[in-house]
Amino acid sequence: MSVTLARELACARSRLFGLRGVTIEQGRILLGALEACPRWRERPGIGELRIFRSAAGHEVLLVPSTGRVQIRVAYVVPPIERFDAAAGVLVELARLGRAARRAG
Amino acid sequence: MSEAKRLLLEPHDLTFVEDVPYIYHCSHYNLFHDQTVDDVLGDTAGQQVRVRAAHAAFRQLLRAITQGASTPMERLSIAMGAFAAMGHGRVDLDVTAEGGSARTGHAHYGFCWAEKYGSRVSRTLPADAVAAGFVAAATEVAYELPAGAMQAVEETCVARREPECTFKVTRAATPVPLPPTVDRQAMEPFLGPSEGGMDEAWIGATADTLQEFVAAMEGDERGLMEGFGVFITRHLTNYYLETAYAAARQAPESALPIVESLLREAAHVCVFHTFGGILLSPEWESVAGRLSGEPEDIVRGCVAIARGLGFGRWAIRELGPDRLVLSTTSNYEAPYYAARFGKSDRPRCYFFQGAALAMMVLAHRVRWDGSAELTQSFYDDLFRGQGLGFRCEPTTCQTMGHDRTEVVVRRT
Repeated sequence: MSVTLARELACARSRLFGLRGVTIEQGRILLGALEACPRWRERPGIGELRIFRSAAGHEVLLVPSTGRVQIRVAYVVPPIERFDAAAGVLVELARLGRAARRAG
Repeated sequence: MSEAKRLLLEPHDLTFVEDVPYIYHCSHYNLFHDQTVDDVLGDTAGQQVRVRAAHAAFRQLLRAITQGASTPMERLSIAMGAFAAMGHGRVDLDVTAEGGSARTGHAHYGFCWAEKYGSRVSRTLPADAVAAGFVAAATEVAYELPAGAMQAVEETCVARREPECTFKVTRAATPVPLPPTVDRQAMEPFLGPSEGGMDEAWIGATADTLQEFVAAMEGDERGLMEGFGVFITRHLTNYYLETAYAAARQAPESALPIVESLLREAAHVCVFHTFGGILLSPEWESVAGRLSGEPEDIVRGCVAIARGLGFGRWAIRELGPDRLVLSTTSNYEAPYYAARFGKSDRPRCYFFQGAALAMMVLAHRVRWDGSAELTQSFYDDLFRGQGLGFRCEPTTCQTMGHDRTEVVVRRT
């Protein structure tokens, strides 16, 4: 199963990226991993939406029932570097997810 | 702002802070609205009307929320905090009762103008009439000066590619004439009995959830507020409506149809960018589930969003493939107009009219399967291309003394 990073439209240039191909099960594992990871702090969402924020100011939004995941890159990152920043978050999420799966 | 008393006039989906009415609008609408006022009145007169409207509106708000503060510094601190919490930007005020200066790197209008147009268009006039009005009002309120005692002029602006927005604050030689403002007590007599419509249970519950969410939103370190992929402001209806109706009422009779068309188009811009942005957001998906793309779901979603943003209790009376009847007894425009100007001889709920039409365009002409991107060029195709595909006819309007405001949108 491959997950891809796709730019999503926003007023703030190039700050939103969607993860395509995340299954509901993968989303559930990722949610557990983010909840357990001290580097990501949860802040209030809406409905069932879960929002996690890193110390660098990046955010991960996750809708558990659909598996939708969106990365919001911190505004302090220059526009030209935002895709790389989002890719960096994706790599971290993949690592967290793998570790959570291994842990069971 | 966060400590001030906020009130949701629940049966009407109207929002107030200390009885001062406010709503939520995004930068696309804000910029288009201001441009419309300037297009109608001319750059200089338009800017003057906008600064004075903001001055009056913020004076009303700041007087209300600084009641418990005892020193000028306390009042200035509350004012700066409120402006940032509303998403207008973090402004540093360095003022006395004789004047001074103010500065910000992130005034909402200037910053968002630069983000949207800055790479393609040069601008000669500053963009932050709202911030200028706020600065003058904050100085007056801090030092307990009479209305119109101070004036603020934006001298540099990020929208002109200058490094920050700066304002010069001076005592006015003669008091600046400020327009009257409207508060909850003035509006309430013009609100009709609350009415629901089709899908009322779902729309009401969804609107409640959205209201809770946006009420908890605050400006970030810059004093800007981002949500649903757009920059949002918690903004004073007195500002929007004083300036919109100034444009409509001061325009020559022959130009009125064009002015009204522009004021309705501002609503198209809002529905396309803000409502559309919300519909595509994870926030919406978490509340309403994945978008089905069915026109009925888009329209009822838009009505819930309008209520969630404090526009009033909009209700669907009829909805079919070719026709929408949208009505309200508490749209934010009508009670303001009636309280401020009295009865109108023509329907004046321009935002409501434009929004109803735009909702049908979004519902029937946008593919919601994930392939649609709400870009400016797509907006131009939909709303400025070969025809909208629908037209909107206002049938009744509370600004004319009717008991409700209602529009019929028909396929052309």
